[in-house]
Amino acid sequence: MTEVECEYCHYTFPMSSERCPHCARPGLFPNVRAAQDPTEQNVLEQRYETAYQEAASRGTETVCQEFETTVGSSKAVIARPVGEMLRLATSDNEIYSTYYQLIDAGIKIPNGDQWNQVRGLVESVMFPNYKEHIRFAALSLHTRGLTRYGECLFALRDEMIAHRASVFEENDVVWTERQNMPLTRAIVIPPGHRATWNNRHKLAVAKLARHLTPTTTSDEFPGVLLREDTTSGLDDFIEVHIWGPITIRTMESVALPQSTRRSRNVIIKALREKLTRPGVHLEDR
Amino acid sequence: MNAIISGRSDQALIIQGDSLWTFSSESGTSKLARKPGEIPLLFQGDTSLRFLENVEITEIATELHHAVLCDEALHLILIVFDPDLSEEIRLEACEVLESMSWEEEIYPYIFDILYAHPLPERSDIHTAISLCERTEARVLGGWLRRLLKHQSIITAVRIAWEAVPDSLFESSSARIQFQYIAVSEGLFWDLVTDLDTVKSVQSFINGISSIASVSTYPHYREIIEQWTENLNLTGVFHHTEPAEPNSSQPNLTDRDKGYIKAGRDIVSASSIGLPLQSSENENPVAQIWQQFREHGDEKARDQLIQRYAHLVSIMAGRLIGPMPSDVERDDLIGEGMVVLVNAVDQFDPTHGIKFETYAIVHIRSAILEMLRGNNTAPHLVRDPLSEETDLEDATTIQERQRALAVAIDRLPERERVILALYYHEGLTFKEIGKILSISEARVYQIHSQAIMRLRSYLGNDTGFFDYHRVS
Repeated sequence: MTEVECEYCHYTFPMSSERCPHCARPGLFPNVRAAQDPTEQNVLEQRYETAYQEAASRGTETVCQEFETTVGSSKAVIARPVGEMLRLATSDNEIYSTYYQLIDAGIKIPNGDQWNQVRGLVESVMFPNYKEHIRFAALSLHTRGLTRYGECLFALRDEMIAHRASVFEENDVVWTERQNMPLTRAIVIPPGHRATWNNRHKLAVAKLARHLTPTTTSDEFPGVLLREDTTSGLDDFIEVHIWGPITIRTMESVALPQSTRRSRNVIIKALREKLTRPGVHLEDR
Repeated sequence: MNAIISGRSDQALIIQGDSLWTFSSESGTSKLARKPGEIPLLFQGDTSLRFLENVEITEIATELHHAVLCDEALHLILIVFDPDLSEEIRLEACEVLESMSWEEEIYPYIFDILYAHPLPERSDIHTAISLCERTEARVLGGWLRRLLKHQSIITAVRIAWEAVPDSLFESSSARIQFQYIAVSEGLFWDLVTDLDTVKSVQSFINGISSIASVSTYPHYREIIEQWTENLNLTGVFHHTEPAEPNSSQPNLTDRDKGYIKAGRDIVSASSIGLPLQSSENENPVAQIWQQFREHGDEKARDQLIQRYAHLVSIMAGRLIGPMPSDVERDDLIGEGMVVLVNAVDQFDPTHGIKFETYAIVHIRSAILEMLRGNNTAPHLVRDPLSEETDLEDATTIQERQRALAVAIDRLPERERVILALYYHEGLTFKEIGKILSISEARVYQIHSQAIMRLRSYLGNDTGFFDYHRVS
């Protein structure tokens, strides 16, 4: 199959693709445009200023500035199971993609009243409007992530997602539930709770400055930015919405687990080999 | 409770009222409360979810364990084929896959997929086969050699599938959905192996109606007919040579030879796909049996042989899977047909056993006996007690056997039949589903239900179930 080079990220992809599978360009990225809305930005700016004023009144302005600088280099981190990680790492490999396609059926919920709740969830939560294009990540420092979603943690390269990523206060559906907002397609999220990738530090300050104290050290920043609690309902993190596909070229580093099961360990070893070749940095979890 | 299973994500989502929980195969059944908003993160990207209705937690755990193993096995086989990976990893993947060959349903799952598409150009099956030889992965090696041998037919079947017009499907997603069903129900596998052995698509077409997930699909008959008609365009029938007489065939009487020929004709020709009547609708079969036994009606006898001929086809297909490629399915079918005819003649319903259970025992034994003659017989029968014989004294085992027999007698009939077919006859859940005309998932459910019932009957003596993967 004829391949062409992406004019943005310079990786190659099949000519038949409608956009680059590695960086998703060219595209309009509606999630980013929503975060760029002037009203959205103005309200976020107000929250950010207020957070700083409040921090200054508690003597934590310097810590807050240090926190903001650190978050400026934070990463979008995704946690996935080993098997799915291998699928991701082999997404441009003919052998794997051929056979994986055969078992991808599309979700079909059974008929019956018992599934109404799930049908509601799937239809209004999983796939409203452009959500089928969105990949979810957590904003994180040091390849730290929500391991209950999978034992492999991978951080994405800034240059491959900055143009198509936006950040939101927390898991958007959990947030709407906390605000007692109905889960419908017509849901309107009040402004000031999302930001572009390059303004993620402002959202982090607006949300988290109140958790900083004069004695908070930089070692504690990762735990302030992302907290994995005993139950998922208590987790707290800034959610990253990335429009479009992710491939092995989109990854910067991966933290891989060890397993007690031999079958899983063979898959992990294969993953290591696959990831090392394109230069993905590997870490052990 | 209801549940959604994702093997790829290793997650089972349990839905009970308004509550949502998950667990993974690694975490046991220790449940984690979830919010609806987490679902996109849990199942991100997985579009092949399984939905289970009215199930218990142990059934969900069984399903998840199975789904995860299948997913891992598919990864491993693709690793074995991948020339970009080091030999060391491919060798280890061979070894692990070989060790998984005892797990029911794993090989059928991955080979149903591998038979649905010709191997991509980059696939390195020749090295994979030689790696199997080096690691003494004989079962895997047998399957791979057969896969290699079938590549030209697989290609023809795939081309014929692609040529089925879109207009027969309600939408493009319906086409994908149907393909998924065709792959997971083993239709590609069945069609390829039928073309290779009986050189006919008729038994394949007839058998389709007994697969509930296919036969409830709109226009399924037109789709299947178009698919098989398209095979004429591919020239696949010209590629398949008539089977050579097998020089190792045992001495047969003229009567046996007549049965073998009749059996092959029946299996390849017409009505073998008729599903067995379920307990809810047994009158027609009962009438045929009555006609045969009371009046010695030859026509009724033929009808019975035809009705049950698919048991031979299923058992031959089941046992030939892991065999070296020089074992012909035709020979197994011939042997099985002889036994089936005898079984019809000798069956005594007053013993309170269903004919299919009775027949399968004998068909299976005969086929295994024939294979043993070729020194290729697998050891497929599951025996929960066999691994304990070195550890337990004979008295304890006898006591357990008695207790188990009593407990099994207390089970509802359908559960008893499924346990017999699974543990005693070595059939897979998919094959049992075909025999009883119920879905594979339903067989899982009934099986799990039976195991749970047995557990409760037998109290805390879980030694009975040490073998079983639920434990």
